[in-house]
Amino acid sequence: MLATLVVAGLVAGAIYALVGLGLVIIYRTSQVVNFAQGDVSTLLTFVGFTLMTQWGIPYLAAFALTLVIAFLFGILVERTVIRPVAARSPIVAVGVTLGVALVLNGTSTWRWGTQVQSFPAPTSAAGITVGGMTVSGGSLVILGALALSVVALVTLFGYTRIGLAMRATSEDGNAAELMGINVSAISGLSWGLAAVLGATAGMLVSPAITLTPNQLDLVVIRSFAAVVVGGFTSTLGAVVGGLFIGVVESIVAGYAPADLTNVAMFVIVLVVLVFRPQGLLAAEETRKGLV
Amino acid sequence: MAAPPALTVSGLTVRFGGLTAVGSVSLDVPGGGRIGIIGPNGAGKSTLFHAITGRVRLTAGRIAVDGRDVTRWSMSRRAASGVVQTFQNIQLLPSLPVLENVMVGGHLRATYPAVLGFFGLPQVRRSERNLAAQARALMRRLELLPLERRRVSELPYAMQKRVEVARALMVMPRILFLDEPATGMNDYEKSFFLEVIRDMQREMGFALVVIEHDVSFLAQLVDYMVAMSFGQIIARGRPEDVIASPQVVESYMG
Amino acid sequence: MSKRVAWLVVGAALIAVFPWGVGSYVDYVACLALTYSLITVSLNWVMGYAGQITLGQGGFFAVGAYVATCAVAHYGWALPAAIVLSAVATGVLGLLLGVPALRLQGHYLALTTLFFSLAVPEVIMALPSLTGGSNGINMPGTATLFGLHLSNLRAAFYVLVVLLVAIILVDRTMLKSKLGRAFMAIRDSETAAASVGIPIAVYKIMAFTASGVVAGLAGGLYAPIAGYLNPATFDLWLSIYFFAALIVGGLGNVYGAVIGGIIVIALPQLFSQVQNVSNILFGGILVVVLLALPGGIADWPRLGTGVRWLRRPR
Repeated sequence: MLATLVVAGLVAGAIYALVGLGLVIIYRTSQVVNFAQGDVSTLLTFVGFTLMTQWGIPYLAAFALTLVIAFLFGILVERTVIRPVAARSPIVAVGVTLGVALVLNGTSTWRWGTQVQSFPAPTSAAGITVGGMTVSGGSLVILGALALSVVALVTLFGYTRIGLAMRATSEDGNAAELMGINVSAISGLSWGLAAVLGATAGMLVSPAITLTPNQLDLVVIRSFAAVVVGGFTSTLGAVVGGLFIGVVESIVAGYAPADLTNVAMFVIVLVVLVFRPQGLLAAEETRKGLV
Repeated sequence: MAAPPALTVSGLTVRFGGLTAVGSVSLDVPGGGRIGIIGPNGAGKSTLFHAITGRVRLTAGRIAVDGRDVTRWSMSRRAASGVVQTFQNIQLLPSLPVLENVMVGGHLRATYPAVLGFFGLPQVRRSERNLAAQARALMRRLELLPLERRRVSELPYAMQKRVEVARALMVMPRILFLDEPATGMNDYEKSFFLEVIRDMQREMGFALVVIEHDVSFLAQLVDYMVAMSFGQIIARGRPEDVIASPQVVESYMG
Repeated sequence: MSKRVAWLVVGAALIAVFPWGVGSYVDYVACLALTYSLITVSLNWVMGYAGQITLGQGGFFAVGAYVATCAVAHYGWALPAAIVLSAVATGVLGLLLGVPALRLQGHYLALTTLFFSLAVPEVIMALPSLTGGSNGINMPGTATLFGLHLSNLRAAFYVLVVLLVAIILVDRTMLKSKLGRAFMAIRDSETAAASVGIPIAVYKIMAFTASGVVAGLAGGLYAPIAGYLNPATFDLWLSIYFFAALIVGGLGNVYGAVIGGIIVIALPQLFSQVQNVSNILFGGILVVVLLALPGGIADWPRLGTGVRWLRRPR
């Protein structure tokens, strides 16, 4: 039924949007496409998993603790390996994020193995039933998490000094620095935030897709697609793009075999990249590339 | 009917956002002519060059080479039609030695299709030998030959500028734009450079447009001068007249 | 005896005394190392010489392997013709991939080429009747390269060596021509390139096309050597490996590319029990190299000076 597919698509899309928001925040402040986003999220999800299942910490506390760890971890990564290279040639910056992805993926696999793990669900509540459709509790939590994140980010960017500093840095890093903004601290903050968003998405989606070191990569690929469609410089674009990809994917999968769905998604992404690389929602960027 | 000037610039305007770097400049360069451009920093001289050669897109105006409208042409297409410049911030290839840097200027004059470069055919080797010989000849004239295998990044600034000039000459330009070629040169080097450029211009027949801060050096090189200030031409004519004109003096002082 | 001849003799000796038959797995790894070196050399043309970032070699490799296999398995093509078809197909794809490279740079280009590499296995899986989908496809054992069964790994090894040497010669020749200079001009200063009339778009596309052809050739040879293809082999990580291999081995240096290709294979083998450790190590080396030693291993002063002494005075 179409409505069910749409709702399922929105839920999946919410996950993509969460990760995508992290990608956009990083790109806007560091001008770096964070190819390690998936593996950072995976590692942190595994951390959450260990806290919940092996250390026996209750769900909410473990979730919150993981987010704190995520934030610090993001800052750590930015400070140690990204900052020295963010201003250098794209080959170097991209290479470093790829290297981080490799290291983290290897670490996750090494520590937790490739067996499928079962990640605790946030709630086993039955959810709500609207118009003949049931939206599970878990799905509601995901949608809620996206809404909460969007509200939090809008508040952060629009109403706090730090948020203002971040927007200034995204607009023009040099000008921001001249105005006394500590641009490198802002970069660290962005990576921390992105890690938090990624960890949130990872922990919320894992109950449904089961947790393995490479599983989240499939999700993150769609997040990249979402951000490409929405525009790397647009937080609204990440949300809209994520939901869009989620819904389209869900509807197409409902009527066509899974592989065609994937192909369709890649075609959409490549078409957007070739014809409107700045994305559908972002403002027109400089003509010669968007580095 | 008289041949059109080598270069005609009409109403050339370059605006970056709210800033007008070049404001409606018009200029004719006759074939084989020698024109100098002076003006304080920020007057828009280099931007004018960049707009003419295609490095920067113009906001309004028209550029014609030998009567042909090149306003919409890319930089490489304009270079192919003979519009070549050297740069104030030197654009050399740091990973290649001096000889190859100069040879790159002969790209369009290599007599083989690029794809054959993958295979060491006699045609390719012959053309490469010719290009190398031509490059060496130019380098000898500019006293760069001993440096042939040196890395360009190791050379002093003034020598790097000479390598760029050699590269530009290698293209066999129709109109050569030199952006501050004498910076970093001492008096001996300047008079040497003056002589070489004058000779080369006579032999190769290109028109020459030069931006320079050393006004007396420039006056010996060119026979027509243009002074710019805040993106506009404020004086033009014979070098001695332009240099002495009150507006020009004021633009440098004020 | 000149240094260069000395190196060639050493290389030939190493190849001659290679311990064949120690284990067919070792032989296979050796062939794979050469294949990966070929692909990394092709990557170097685009990324090392022309300076365009690309994560697309995995995609070309996959297309090359599958086109050859399908041509032989479904349409009865002879292997040599099938491999040529692979090269043509990947050449065309390379040309198409070069087009976005004209408008995009840096991170966006990396993303586009990565998506290309990700899309290829998806397309493969979406055409199961042709490619066997996720079940994979076998290269018929009857396929021979001018009488050579490439499943005989020793024969395959020699074929690959010959091809690699040939490609290296092509590489060296190209560098001494206007083609190589144009690539490097585009990499070092597009402004300088444009100022001498180099049509930048044409050469960027040429770089992508050429690299596609060579990677496709490698794929076409890989198919009969491996005997069996599965889309899972050509995953996201493979493209990242090629990228990393070139950086670690030496960006812009053909011998660095060869070294990188070998390392990328050898490393997991050294840690065969714990493959993830090799990922961690490899990723770590990649990051360290980028932070500290931009020229890669080939640039390390103590370890051989790679290209420099081979560059003859004109």
